[in-house]
Amino acid sequence: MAEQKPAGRSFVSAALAEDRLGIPSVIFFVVSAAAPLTVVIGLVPTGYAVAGAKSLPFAFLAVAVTLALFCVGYVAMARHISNAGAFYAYATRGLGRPVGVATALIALLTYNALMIPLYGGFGFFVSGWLNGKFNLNLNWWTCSLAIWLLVGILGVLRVDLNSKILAVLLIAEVTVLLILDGADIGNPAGGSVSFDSLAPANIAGVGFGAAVVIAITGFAGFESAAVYGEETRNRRRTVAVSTFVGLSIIGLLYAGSAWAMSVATGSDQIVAKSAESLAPDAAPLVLALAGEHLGATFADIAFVLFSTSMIAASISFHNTVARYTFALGRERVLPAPLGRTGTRTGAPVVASVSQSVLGFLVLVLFAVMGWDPLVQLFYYGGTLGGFGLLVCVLITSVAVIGFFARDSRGESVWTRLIAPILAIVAVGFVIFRAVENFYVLLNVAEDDPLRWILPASYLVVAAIGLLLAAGLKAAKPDVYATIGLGADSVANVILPTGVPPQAERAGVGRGA
Amino acid sequence: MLVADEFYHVAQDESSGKPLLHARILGLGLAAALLGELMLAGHLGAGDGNIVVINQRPPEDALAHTVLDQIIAEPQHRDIGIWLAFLGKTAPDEVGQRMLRAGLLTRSESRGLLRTTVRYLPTDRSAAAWPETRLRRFLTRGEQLNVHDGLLAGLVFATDLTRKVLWDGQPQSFQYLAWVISNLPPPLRELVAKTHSAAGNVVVAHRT
Repeated sequence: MAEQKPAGRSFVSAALAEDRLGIPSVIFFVVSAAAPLTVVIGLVPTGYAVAGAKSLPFAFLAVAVTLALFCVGYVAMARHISNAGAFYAYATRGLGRPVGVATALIALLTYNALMIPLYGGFGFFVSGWLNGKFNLNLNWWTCSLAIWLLVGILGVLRVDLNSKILAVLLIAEVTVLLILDGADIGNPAGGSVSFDSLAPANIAGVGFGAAVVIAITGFAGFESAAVYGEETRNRRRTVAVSTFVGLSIIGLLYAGSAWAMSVATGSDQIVAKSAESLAPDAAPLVLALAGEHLGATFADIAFVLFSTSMIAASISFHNTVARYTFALGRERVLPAPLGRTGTRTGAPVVASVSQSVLGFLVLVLFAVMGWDPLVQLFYYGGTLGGFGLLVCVLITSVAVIGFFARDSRGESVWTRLIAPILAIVAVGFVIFRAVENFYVLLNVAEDDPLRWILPASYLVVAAIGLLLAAGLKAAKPDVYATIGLGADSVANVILPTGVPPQAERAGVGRGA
Repeated sequence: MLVADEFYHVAQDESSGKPLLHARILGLGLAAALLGELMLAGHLGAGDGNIVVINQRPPEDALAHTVLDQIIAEPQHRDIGIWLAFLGKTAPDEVGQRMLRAGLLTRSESRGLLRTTVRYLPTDRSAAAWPETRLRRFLTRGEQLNVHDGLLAGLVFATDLTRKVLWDGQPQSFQYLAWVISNLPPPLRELVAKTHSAAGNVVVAHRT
């Protein structure tokens, strides 16, 4: 959208700028989508315990740098395409429709794998805490169903956490986190502080592949600034600045917190202590440390913010899945009813409910089969999503190169070629190590089939996507022609061509 | 009735006067209707995503006159999307006021616990239901629509009100609607397409 603004004198520009988002708002959206407390209190100790990932602090830094390289090309391309909040739009514009559809399905699996496990995590932690505090006997799935219901209702009513509430919660979360970290660092086990887990040498260790998958799971949400592109005051700058600032904040917070935790327990004890803290009646590690150093009341406050963090993250990822499903329904890659808006709330109701139904089925499955909500749903599921995110980032980096190869659109060589190539190398290396060490991540035997099944699920989904694209091309060429180009493209006006009724057919040609 | 007024009625619950669309999407639909009115009257054209001023003579309707003046005053903005967004902010109020003055709507205040809600109720419920009834009749019977009704049908599609108008859900009615839209004159077709995509983008960007 080319707007030449005679600064300040355009009534239209001024009026539109009024309800557009500024950089601080978008930064808040990005960081809260990443859900700091959920990651630090929920994911990190579980990662330490299950995968023994002692190099987690370094892994967070490594992933931050990798994602920063990725974001150079990502935010640049976001300026030139519509539907910039969806990885498949990049894949389609850069690498063609078949890859685009495959990426769409990969992304759907990724975001569902990031979303649904949050129900499990919430159920586990909250039921454990309530049982401990008030001497109750709640099942994990009781609490999981409660949050499922809450998120489902809010999704349909389109009640998003408005930016003020979000900002307050986020500031509280980060403040508490910094205090927790300070207390941890200030009370090192054995009196000395070790920086080993932050050292680059960790890259060679066996646990590194596992650690990066855990790390990127924590970063999920970093890509969300691009969603708001067209709603921002200055499209060129806002998405870029928010993304990089958000990434830095998240990376430093996570690396710092994961390291601080290991300082407080002693780096040789972090795995053991984390494992202890995963028992249903034990306090989460971070809160146990908080209780020791800062008192029980502070630990309780931290837990409440931890719960709201999980709720906020659930809402955020639920909306992401709904948004993807809605956009795909609009383009008729997925069944068209998913693309319906027409409700008073403006919610993509069908898409939202579909996601809720899927979540419900997963919860029922886990409850009935007696599977572990923390390790198997929250941790395995979440890291499956994290792995998928790596795949999406890899595909998108290649797509960036493809997109700018035909027309550089004024972007520099660094932006459109060098940074993406570096990102591809980095992400490719990380994916390779992750697949190599997936059994370490899952803490299963090296020959356990699960270590192949989980990452391979993305190959399966991609294959289905390619088949779907081929099917669409054959059966519905008008739909196929407009995939991923976004409804903005006037040259590809996505209107159904339709069929005239029998009476009208004689002598009237097909329109569009 | 003017296109925007008819769209307002279609997008409204006849008994309570409540809008059936989210405020932003209603705004987009009404903004498109206002632009459409100017197109039908020959003042505006469209191509390549931009609107074009064809005839600067003041339109008869006061609101249309205001809109045209605004467009003429800002020649640097021609993208349809920008005008949909800008006009959409105030369109529900402006069109509502126009309909009040024309006696199509009447103001009704209801006092709640915390605040007073103002609603605009149709003065004549069967007249308010007529645009929708008319569209439904033509679409289900496959009868020819004039360009005014074609535009109205397009806006119904663009704002996802289709299932309200075609509540009996016969597939051939939906297909005929699609055919009608794709056979609109190109400027109107572009307007409808842009509105549809703007409505979708608003949902995707969480601004609903």
